[in-house]
Amino acid sequence: MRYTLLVLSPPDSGSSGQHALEFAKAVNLAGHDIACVFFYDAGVLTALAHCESPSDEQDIRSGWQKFAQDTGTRLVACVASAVRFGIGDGQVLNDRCLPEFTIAGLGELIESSSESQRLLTFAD
Amino acid sequence: MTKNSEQPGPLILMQSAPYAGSLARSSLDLALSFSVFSQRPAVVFCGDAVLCLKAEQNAEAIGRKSLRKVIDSLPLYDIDRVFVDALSLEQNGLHAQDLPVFAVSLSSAELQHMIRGASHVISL
Repeated sequence: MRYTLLVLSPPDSGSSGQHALEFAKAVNLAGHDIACVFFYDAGVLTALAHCESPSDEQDIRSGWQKFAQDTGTRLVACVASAVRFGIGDGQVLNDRCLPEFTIAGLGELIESSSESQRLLTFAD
Repeated sequence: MTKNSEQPGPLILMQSAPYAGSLARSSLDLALSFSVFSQRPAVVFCGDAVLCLKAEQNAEAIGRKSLRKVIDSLPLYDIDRVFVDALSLEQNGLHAQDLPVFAVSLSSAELQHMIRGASHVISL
């Protein structure tokens, strides 16, 4: 089965960011395919580089990086949301985002969902 | 990307209050994007999101855009499937005559049926 995951909350807000990551890992372990994980609205803050989690808390951003490196899963941050949340625009945006994330528009989410049997939303 | 008009489209289940964060506006942007890609989205207002439909909003007073104005323009972008959960209307003290003319009120059973029939449900 092919999944698209939509993440709407930043890593340090509630628990949905962690749920999204753990769900992605479980989907992969079960042998299913993830078309893309799309980070929209405040979820784009997940892609922000140079953030440091407290050492006694789970680092969700590093978790997504490792997941993408291990599985090749496409992580996409919405460009409009990134601009809105002050991450930047153009090359500045690329520099401020973690390298495992692709910056793209909502069209990427729509195309991914049209190719997926399941679309799950993670929000607080 | 085209979609067979006979296939079910996505359902955007809006549950966020209009000005508590950016998610309500982002939900409408998402609906517009689906429509641009000919995906025939349905938009359902449920829970606190019914407050987005209130007439005579003046969000400009708090530096925001009144969401009722955005909603009133949905048919211009070929979004003609706009629904409202009747129970949420009642719980928020709203009446059917407050709604845009193209919005259809749904009972809980009708809402359940619509959710089951959608290709994807995006709850935000």
